[in-house]
Amino acid sequence: MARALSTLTWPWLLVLVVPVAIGIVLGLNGLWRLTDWVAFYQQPGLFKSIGYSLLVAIIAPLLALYSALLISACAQHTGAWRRTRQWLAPLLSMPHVAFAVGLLFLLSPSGWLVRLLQELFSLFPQPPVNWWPQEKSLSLMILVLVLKEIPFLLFMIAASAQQFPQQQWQRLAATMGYGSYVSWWKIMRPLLVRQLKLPFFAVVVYSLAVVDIAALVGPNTPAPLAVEVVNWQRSFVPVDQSFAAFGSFILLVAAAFMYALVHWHEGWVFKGARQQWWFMRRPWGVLAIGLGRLWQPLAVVLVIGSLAVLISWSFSFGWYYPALRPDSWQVNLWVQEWPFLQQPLLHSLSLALITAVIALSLSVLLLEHQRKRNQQWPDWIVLLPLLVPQVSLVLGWVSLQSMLGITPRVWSSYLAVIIGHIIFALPYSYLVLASHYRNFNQRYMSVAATLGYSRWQAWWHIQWPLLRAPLLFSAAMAFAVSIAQYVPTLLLGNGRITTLTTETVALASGGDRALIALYSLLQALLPLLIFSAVLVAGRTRGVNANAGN
Amino acid sequence: MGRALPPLAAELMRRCWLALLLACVPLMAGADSSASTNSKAWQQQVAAAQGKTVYFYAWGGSQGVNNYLRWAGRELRQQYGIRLEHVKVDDIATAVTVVMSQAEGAGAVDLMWINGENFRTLKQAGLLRGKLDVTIPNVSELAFDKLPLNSDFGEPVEGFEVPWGIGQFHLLARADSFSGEQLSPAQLVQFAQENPNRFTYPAPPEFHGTTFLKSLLVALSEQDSRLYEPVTEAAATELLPLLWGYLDKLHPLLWRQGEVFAQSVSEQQRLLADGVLDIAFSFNPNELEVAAQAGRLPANLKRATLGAEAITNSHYLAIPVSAQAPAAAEVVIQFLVSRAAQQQKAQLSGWGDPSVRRDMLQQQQLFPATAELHSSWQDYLERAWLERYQH
Repeated sequence: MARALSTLTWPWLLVLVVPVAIGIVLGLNGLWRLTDWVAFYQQPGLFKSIGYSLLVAIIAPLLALYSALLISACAQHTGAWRRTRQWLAPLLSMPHVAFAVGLLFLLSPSGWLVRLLQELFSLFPQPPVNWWPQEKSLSLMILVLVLKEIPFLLFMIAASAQQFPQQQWQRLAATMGYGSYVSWWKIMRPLLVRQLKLPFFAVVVYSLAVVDIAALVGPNTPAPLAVEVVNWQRSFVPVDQSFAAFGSFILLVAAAFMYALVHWHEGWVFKGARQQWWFMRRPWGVLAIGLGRLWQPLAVVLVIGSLAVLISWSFSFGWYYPALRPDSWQVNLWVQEWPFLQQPLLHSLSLALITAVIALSLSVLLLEHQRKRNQQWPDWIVLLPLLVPQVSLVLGWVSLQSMLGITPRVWSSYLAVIIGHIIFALPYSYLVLASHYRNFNQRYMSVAATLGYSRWQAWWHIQWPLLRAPLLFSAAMAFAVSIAQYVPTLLLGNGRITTLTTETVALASGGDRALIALYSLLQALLPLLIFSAVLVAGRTRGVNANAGN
Repeated sequence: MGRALPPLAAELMRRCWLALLLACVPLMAGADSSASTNSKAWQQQVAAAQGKTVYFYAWGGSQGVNNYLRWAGRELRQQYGIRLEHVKVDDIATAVTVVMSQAEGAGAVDLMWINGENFRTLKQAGLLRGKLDVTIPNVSELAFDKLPLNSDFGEPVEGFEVPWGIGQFHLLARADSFSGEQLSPAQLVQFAQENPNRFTYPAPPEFHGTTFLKSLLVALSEQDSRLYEPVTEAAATELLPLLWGYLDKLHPLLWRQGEVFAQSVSEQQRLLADGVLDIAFSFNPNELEVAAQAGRLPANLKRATLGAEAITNSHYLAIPVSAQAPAAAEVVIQFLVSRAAQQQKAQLSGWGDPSVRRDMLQQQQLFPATAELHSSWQDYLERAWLERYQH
């Protein structure tokens, strides 16, 4: 660890390590009360809770990764990449909670599907007791996470795949008698798994640490550990504060353990690349291609379905089981909320734009810096802020604010929120970019240098156009992460900075579904615009590249 | 308070005490001229509050509450020139952690909506501004003599917070699910036996879930007086088996056989609207009308108390010592407990929260009330429940 840190120059140390260190020291200060560990060990349901967290963090990301790989293999096989990508933007941009709310109302035992069956066949005068997915269950939680993460991984695959001369490889494989599906699994999968290592790990960490989704659709006797940590944090019995710190610590250890697993998985995939896996053989291969093809209609149903849920709810008045549609429709809510939306909208947009620009610049600088010094820093340094539970970190920074004697004002709060957003957005923007950046063929740059271009000129004229898709996607991810921040915005903003997300999360703690739907729609709107723009930009490049071939 | 007194006698004694105290209020007001709207000090305070911004941290999950605070913001701007910013939080405990980390006069929170454990924590840490009952004139209009406002879950209020509204724990149920306006624990089990899978409760330590346990305990023990005193091991070993015996019988009949519970009362109410459950809880005595008017819950519901009386408590407004605009926050409280503001708050088309003013008590219908248990029972019950049912 010391060696890893010694390779950092001090400005980067300041940017990457110091904030997290401060957050841990000030936010997790209960960790040192060793006597409480015994009581913690005896907490009812503790081990089940840890088990839930580990289970979700292993199963959901793996299912998502292999589904995404399968879908890409099929898209490659059937040449349907472009259509696959079309539906990614809306799925990507929908905040996790909004997506979960939509999915719940589509599939739950009292959802639209059951109501439709009741309407058509009068099967369920009351919501069925035996139904899948059951509300508040581990399987529903995993389903939500898998469906939400597939688009992210698909997007990453799409961006990565562009870097390899796939068509040449496939022609070569064809001469050896391999079809496009099998050759994709044998050649592309190991390479993609390596390229996707960091984004995949981000999905793992997210599944491990997620609170809102777990509270909404997960089990609660006990809940996954991250939820229990927040519950302890919100109780003011002193011993509970220690428990919160211990829980955070266990999550941190679990994340480290998961990192080892991800690493091992990568090695395993490479070692097994030559083997003929069962899913490459008939009839499994045919079945798998069929399953992969299901993604397209599924994505359409998910996008249209969850948007339809949110839009219907935002215009609804009175909507109870078994009605398929509300008692009546109204525009009142939109009219009533409209005047109050401008400020949150403006705050969300400005914060996200600033965060996206700075996070992207920092990511590029970080990677350039490593390239110049011919180093590769261990990735966990950049991922640190994602590994420590957010509430602990942010509370540490809030204490720092008051220790420094900063009296909350509007402008200082805005500044603090920007810093907070950058800290949490940078890992994602870096993750999205890192492997593309490292695999960029530096010979282009050497050629440019011999032609008399300075490094940054060459970067602007050569590297930027070639890496435009991952660079833009990196900024878009930072934008979306900034939009979704709740705890940092509320606490660092001292309540002075209201965003669409602070409003939405507060509303979501109540039961006003119409209002929650309205705000969730708006919350999804800004990332949707950005992701669509990035996809369009990425597509233009793809067309040009093909034309160039 | 006498240890062996039954709760009613204790309550009566407290009321006599209060009456005595209240009788002194005019005298005190005479001596300390600040407790009147006409006093010079107060008028100066109001004048100084002009142009100030008050950041009011309050739960933001209810459209009724949010709209009410928007109305209050407009009125305050017109009447006092104060800008009220409602900082919507998903749980006020978040604001409490912020207050605990900020220095005097340099904090983020000017005013907060609070009660129970959150209040006790901040008060005992010395982080709340005191003497609100002396400085804010309208506090003398509140029904300290008629409602149990002086003690917030067993913690004496002592001027560190000002009552804002009343909560009464009760059930909302489909009209045909049972008869009568009360439901005894035995009747609830009977309902669950006839309708398995149609009832659940929010998992303690969620506030409503814990109150459900308390109500059961009160009814099952026939209001044992020890529930109103600090919890002892002896009392717990004698009383809790009543509760566990009852819950062991109830849980297999619950929604999903008690494997999972509702996460919150909002979720429980959503499950009621979605036809999954027949019964949900509420603390707002007017929730039935309010939710129906807002289109949140079906109209064919009725309300009932669990046991003969509803556990009644109040929610409050408090100012942290770290507030940047404490004087202006006091003016905001003055407005929020004024007659006009309390009347607006009680409107069924909005929030529907009952008033705490003495001059409005007659216009509102409340359930027969019973006091909160001693606050030490809260934590004890929550831990014991988790130990027993979460594993």
